[in-house]
Order: sequence, then C-alpha cells, then structure tokens
Amino acid sequence: MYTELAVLGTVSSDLRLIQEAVRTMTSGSEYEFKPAITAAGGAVRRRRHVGDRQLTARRLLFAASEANYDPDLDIDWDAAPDPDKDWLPAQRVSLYGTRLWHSLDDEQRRELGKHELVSMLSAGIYAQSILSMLMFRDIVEGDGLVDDLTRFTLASINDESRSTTMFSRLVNATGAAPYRLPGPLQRLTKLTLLAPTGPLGRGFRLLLEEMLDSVLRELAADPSIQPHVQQLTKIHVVAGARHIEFARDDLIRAIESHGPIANALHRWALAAVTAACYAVVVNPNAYRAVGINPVRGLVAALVSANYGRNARRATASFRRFTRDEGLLNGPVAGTILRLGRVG
Amino acid sequence: MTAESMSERRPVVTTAGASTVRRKTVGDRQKTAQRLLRSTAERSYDGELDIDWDAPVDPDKKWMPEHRQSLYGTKLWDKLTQEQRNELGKHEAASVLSFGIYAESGLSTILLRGIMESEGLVDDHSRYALAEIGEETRHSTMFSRLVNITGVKPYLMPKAARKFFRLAGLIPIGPSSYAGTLLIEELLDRLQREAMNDPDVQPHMRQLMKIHVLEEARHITYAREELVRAIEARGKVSNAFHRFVFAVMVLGVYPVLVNPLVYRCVGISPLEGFLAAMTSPNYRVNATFAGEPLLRFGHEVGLLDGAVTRRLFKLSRSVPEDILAELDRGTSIAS
Repeated sequence: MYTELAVLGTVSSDLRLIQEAVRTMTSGSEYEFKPAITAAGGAVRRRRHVGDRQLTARRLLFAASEANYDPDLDIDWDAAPDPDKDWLPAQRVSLYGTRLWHSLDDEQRRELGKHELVSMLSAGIYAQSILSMLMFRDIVEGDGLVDDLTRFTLASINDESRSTTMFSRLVNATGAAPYRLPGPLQRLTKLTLLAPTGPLGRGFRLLLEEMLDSVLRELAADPSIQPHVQQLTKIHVVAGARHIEFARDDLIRAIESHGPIANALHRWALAAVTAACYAVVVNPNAYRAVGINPVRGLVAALVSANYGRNARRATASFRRFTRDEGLLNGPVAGTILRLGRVG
Repeated sequence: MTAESMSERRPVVTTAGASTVRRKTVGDRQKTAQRLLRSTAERSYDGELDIDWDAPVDPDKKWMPEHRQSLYGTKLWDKLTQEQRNELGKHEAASVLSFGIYAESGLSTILLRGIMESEGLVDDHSRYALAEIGEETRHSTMFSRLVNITGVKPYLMPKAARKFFRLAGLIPIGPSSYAGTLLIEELLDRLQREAMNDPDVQPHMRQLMKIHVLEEARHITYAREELVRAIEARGKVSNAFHRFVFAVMVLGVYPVLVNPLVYRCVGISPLEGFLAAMTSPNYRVNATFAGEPLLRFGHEVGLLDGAVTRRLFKLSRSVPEDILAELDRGTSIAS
C-alpha cells in the first residue's frame, strides 16, 4: 500500500512538471512584465508563477481522485501498540532537556510523549474542522458553484474529514482521553465563519497545513515510533502536499488582490500567529499525566532551549515560503517572529 | 469489533431502502453510529466513478418528471410547447441541485460544529458525522457535475442571502436544526425515489438519484435519532420555539428550492411564474407527496403540535389529510 502511495506521489509530481511546462508554453499572458515588489510591499527574491485557479484546481482534483485511501482500512487499527516504541520522538517532547525532564524516568517520558501526541492530534481535529468550515464558506460565497475550484475544495474537505477520522482513531489507539478545548475557546469557535477573508485567513490555513506536514513528515521516517503513527503520517503527507500547493497559490492570490495597507496589517497579524502557534500545540493539562503541575510544565517548556528549536523546525517550510514571497521579512514582522523565538 | 456488538446489529434501512427510525427504536447514540459507520464502509459510492459522465445526454429524455414541475397543471403550462416544458424542467432540476449544494454545505457545517462542541471528540458518533460530511462533499461534487452536463448555469442564491451563511456558527443547535436537515434530506429522498425509477428521466440523473437515495438513508436515520434525543432533552418552551422555526422552514422550502429566475428560460417573468406555481392546485399534491414521510414522523414525535405551529402547517399545504384531522382534534401519538 505504501509503496503504491509513494509511486503515485512520484507519478503525480512528474505529471505536475509536465503540466506546468505545457501551461507556461501555452499561456502567453503569463509573460507580462511585473514590478519587482509584491503588492505587500516586500522585495521579491523568487517570483513564483501562480497559474489560473481553475487549472490548478483541475490538476489537483485529478491527483486527489488518483491517490485515495480509506482511514479505517489502510491502517491496522486492531494491532496492539508496541510497548517498547515511542509515540513522539524524545527531542520533540516539550520538556526535553529541562530539569523536569531529567527528573522523569524512561516510562514517564514515553507516557508524556503519548499525551503530548494526543494533545497535538486533538488540536489537529479542531484545526481541520475549522478549515473545513472556512472551505464551505468559500464554496457558498464564491460565484462558481459548479466549477473545478468548488470540486477541488470539496475534495479537500473530504480529505480533511478522513484525516480527522484517522486522528481520532489514533487517539483511541493510545488509550488516552482527547484534550478538548477549554470552555471559553470552544465558544469562540462559533465565530469561525465570521473570520475575515483575506491574506490572514489564507495564511493561517497554509501555516496549519505546513506545520502538520512538517511535524508528521519527520515521524514517518523514524523507526522507533509506534507503527500506527508511522502509517498515519505516511498517508497524511500525500494529501497534505496537495493542500499545501493549493493553499500557497491561494495565499499569493489573496495578497495580490489587496492593497498595501491591508496587506501590512494582515502580514503583521500573520507574523504574530506564526510566532505564537507552537506554544498552543501542547495542552498544559498533558503534564498532569506524569504528575507535573500544568503551569509549572508550561513555563518549563516555554523557557527551554528546545522550544525555539522545535518551533522553528515546525514553521520552517512556512517561513521559507513566506520569506521568498516577501511576506514576513519586513522589520515589524521580523521583530514579531524573533520575539516568538521562531525568527 | 466484538461478537457482542455484532449480535445487536439491526438493519439501518429497510429492504426497500427506507430509513427505519421510529420513535420507540431510538437507541444508544454510539451504537447507532457504529452501525451506520459499518454500513458506510460496506455501501458507499463515488459519483465521479459510479456515474458514466461520458455518456451522451439523451435529447428526448426529461431532467425531472413532468408532474413534479412547479407549473404543471397551470394555465401557463398549457401554453408551453413540449420542448419548452423540457427546457423548464432542466432549469428547475439545475435550481434544485444548486440549492442542494448550499444545503449540504450548511448541514455539514452544523455537523462540524457538533464535532467541535461534543463531549467525546474522538468517539464513533463524531466519526460518523465525519463520514457523513465526506459523503456530502461527494454528493455536492456529483450535483455540480450534473449541472455542468445540463449546460445550464448554476442558480446562485442572492449575494446578501449567502452572507447569512456566516451566522451558521451561532444558530442554536437543537430540534429545529435536525428537523431542518431532515426537511432537505427527506424531501429530496421522496422525490428522487420516484424519479429514479422513471424511464423517461435522463440516465445520468437517475444514477445520481440512486446513489443519493442509498447514502441519504443513513443520514436520515442519524438525523431522526438526533431529533428525538434533542426533543427529549428540552423543556416545553424550548421545544415550542424549535417547532415554530421548523414550521417556518416548511413554509419557505418550496420557493427556495425552485429559484423563480428559472421561468425566464421559457420567457415567463419570474414573478408571474412564481405566483402561478404557488397558486397552482398541483402545489398541494406535490407538497404533500414530498413532505409526507417527514411530516408523519414529525407528527409521531410531536413536532406538529401547538396552536401556532398547527396553523402554519395548514398554510404550508404539505400535511396529509388524516394528520390534519388528528391535529384539529388536538390529539397526537406523542401525547
């Protein structure tokens, strides 16, 4: 199954290159001269070629129907977890390297890793549900109700709901209870559909997709991790790659359709979100699993040298993309990122 | 899956494919969800593959049965040629499918809220909601492809009305939201069950309806059970409010389902067409036909009770005679 997925991945990326080439050759209008700064006002280091929305959607829709999987069948959920394997690599556990970490024995460290994974998966379930809601909003508010863009959006929602199903089964497999959002935050999710459209929303979507992808991609290659987790990550990265590609194009289009002032505000807000996002990935209640007070655990995690390393790692591909596009490299955005220790 | 849970297995749908929920059989939420998830794994379809989109459109076939068209039996209808009637049917079908995409987006959003606000974020009840969202996205995809092959532009809702979607996160979830979900699901179910067996209807459309009917039966089971649980969990005042909201939805559903702009395609002004459809003697026939299964169920669970609600339902002209008579006597099975 997984070699098949890998093969499909290569085939579709080859196909993508060919289609890119064909599209560049056939659309003359793409060669028009464009100024060397983005609408956001940043310097352009590498001008990405953003194609027609419908064409991109059609190509990705094709890829989506080719590489399909079933979250219930393609992972062996009946297999028992391996007691000698980790749920999360030690260096990705938030307390790694702190004094609290040294006071834990091996079993407690593994237990904490399990709870932090469950916390991340729970956050992933909320995040994906919010993304799906916003995608439904795009469909309802868009004017092309029956075109390929709508269909690709629908296929993405379908991907999200399957990956949420996998996340929830994986939480069940760990045997731990999910980490639900605290009451006030949960009530805040009711306002999801009122969120403004524009670069911030698109950027937030891309950030979520890229973070999930980079965190999971690393687990896929690690043999010391539980087999369920490995299987899940392999499946997730295939669909994730499609979503990232689409979200990147969408972000650039959103930037280009807004004025410089709106863009500056959106960029700063996006920088703040990027700076803070890794801090909320682990619910502090997870520390209770190994008898550590949540506040104490949270403080230890945030001041540890490991925090910056992990946060930078999780947001690396997103920051690279936004830097290349001239989105997050102004003085203000740069300062915000540095304050969040991800710059 | 344990042997114990297998032995409790009941069919999700009758052999005729109809939903099986009756008030007394409403069981445990999680068990129903497990049953429906199993059924989903066994019987699910992909409109992209299970409909032959490359097959040509048959110029002699209709897009919907004539007697279900909104103007059927009116004076305006008599003036139309056969070709115009088919053309109007095509536009009405495109309008219903366009509305279907909006409705499925709306109810999926409600399901997503249900997941985020639920106590058991990672249980089978949430997973079935996710499976249902996945199915709704495939249904919308197949609706959109069908609109494409009719060659008709989709009937978009007015921009201002679409902005209301942003409030979907704030409306209270309760009996009226489940009843509203059922309203769309069961109306389409009833009409599609009839049309999918009609040899005069376009083959693509019939296949679409078969897929939709088979998968929607599970959704109806899920929503009916949630409706009963929601009613039981609420007090008299809250239920009266939700009954009122549901009655208003029933009153308004037909004008929304068929966008009055469709009449332009045969040179009838939207207002004239709309009035003709609303005053047509056929309106009651069609509304009662489409609404009967849901309203019978609604009557069983007491959704039609109450003086105000009863009057609104009479206005809707969609309640079968025998239920009307019972409502007038002030009795219901529930009470």
